Amino acid sequence: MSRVLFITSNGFGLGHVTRCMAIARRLPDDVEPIVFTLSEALPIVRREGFFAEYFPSRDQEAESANHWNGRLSRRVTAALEEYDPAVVIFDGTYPYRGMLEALRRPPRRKLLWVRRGMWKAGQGTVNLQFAPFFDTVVEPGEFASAADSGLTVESKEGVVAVAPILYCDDDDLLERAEAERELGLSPGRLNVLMQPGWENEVFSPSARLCIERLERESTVQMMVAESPLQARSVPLPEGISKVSTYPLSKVYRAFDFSICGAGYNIFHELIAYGLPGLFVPNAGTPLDDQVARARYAQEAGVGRSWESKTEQELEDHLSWFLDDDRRAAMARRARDLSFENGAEAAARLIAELSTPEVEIVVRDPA
Amino acid sequence: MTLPRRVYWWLIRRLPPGQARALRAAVIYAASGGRRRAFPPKVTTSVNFTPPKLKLLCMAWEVSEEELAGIVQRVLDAVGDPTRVACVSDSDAVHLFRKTGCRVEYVPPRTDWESHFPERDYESFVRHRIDALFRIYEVERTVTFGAVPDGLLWSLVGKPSEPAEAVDLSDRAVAASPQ
Repeated sequence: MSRVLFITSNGFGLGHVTRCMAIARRLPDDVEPIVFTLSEALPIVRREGFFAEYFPSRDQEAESANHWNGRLSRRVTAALEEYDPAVVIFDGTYPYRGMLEALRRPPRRKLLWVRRGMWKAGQGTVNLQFAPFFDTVVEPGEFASAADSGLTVESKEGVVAVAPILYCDDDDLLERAEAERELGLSPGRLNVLMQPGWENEVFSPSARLCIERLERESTVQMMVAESPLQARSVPLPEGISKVSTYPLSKVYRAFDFSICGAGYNIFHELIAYGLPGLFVPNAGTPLDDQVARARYAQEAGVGRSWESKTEQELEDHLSWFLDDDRRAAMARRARDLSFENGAEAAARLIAELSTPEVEIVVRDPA
Repeated sequence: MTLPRRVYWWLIRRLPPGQARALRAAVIYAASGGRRRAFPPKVTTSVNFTPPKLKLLCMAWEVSEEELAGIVQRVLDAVGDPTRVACVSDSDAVHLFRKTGCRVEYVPPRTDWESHFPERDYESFVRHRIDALFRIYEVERTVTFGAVPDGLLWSLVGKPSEPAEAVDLSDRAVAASPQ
């Protein structure tokens, strides 16, 4: 039995930790994953059956970067001593100083960086400098890669590309009738899943606009996804049906379309499972180019991109989703362009590296 | 040479070295549309660390989320400065600490440990973890709530590097029970 340690960044989101669990749950039985997370999704990680360690993200008002990194270094060192993992996998866009300090100390372990692409043009120069510290960079596939103008496009040395990484496989999804039953939705209606996480911590005016508009449609049955993380849960308007389940994609087949952000996980889940999406990209993220991703979805015919957040444009977009033929065409197109789940390949690679006889070339971090 | 270029080089020659370097970096960055940098950023992986001084290390074991919320509130009210408190707990209700300023140290609970590592002793694990925490923080006082594991007591009565009798327990540990 060998062990591997996943270290996931992220203060209160689910993206990085979900990707790590997607890989971890596909590891062979003789490789034990341990998840060391900086996400408040700790209870979810435990519920999914993983052994988890937690270290809080930095509270900028309470602690200096130096102190936080110092504590992180000692905690990662303690975890390395306790669990002695053969491979350490970091999922995040910025490897922390404290983590790297702990990982540099002997004994040398195999280090992997799961680093998704689609960075905003010109952003992340500093982040890329850390690549030589890792033996391998695993790049989860990006459906919108043709629109990727970020720095990772040209930085392919030591990179192993896999298909987009998803938590669920197609077989994990409930059939429509079963999912509707589980969610308490009446059959035979047009079901809309709204995932209003595109603006952090507020139920934004754009989300309210969608609800008000769709409430006028007699055939529509709407459900709003509430984050399973307490810190991320947004106060929702009265009388709205809510769903707070993990993984949410398990019940995607209950829905005819979704209104959501254009973050990596949601975006790829929707396309993989053939659920048309009205994407509301968050242009304010520091690195993730959600705008380019959403625009690409519209060009590819698998969804629509609502960047302006104006009522007029919303009306135009919704006309696509409320029309059965157009909506069906988007779903068909998404299914045609769908991809395999890269989590399997990433898990295979990690399992191979965790066996002692596999040697990899270690590049000098200088 | 165009006028802007002449002005650029004139400035580069006359500015102090630090400012000239900054100007050059900015011009190269802007001219490349944000793709190039004149001087790659320095990558640092070393950390200068001085252990934070804590007034109180609060340990809460096998307490419910509600109890933990109450404990945190009481402790923060008592200490005043949240940055001088760290709470060690096996509870996964870590969201309770968000934006409180109080540090949280999670120790995986006994149930998780025993189901994943049945061949390994939980008490020894706790002892090592608590020992490690005493190396991270300079602690004035310790207070414990809930079902205290033996490993915690073992750590409190002496670090592995020093004999148990060398530790003054009256100064290190203040036991308290949950309400």
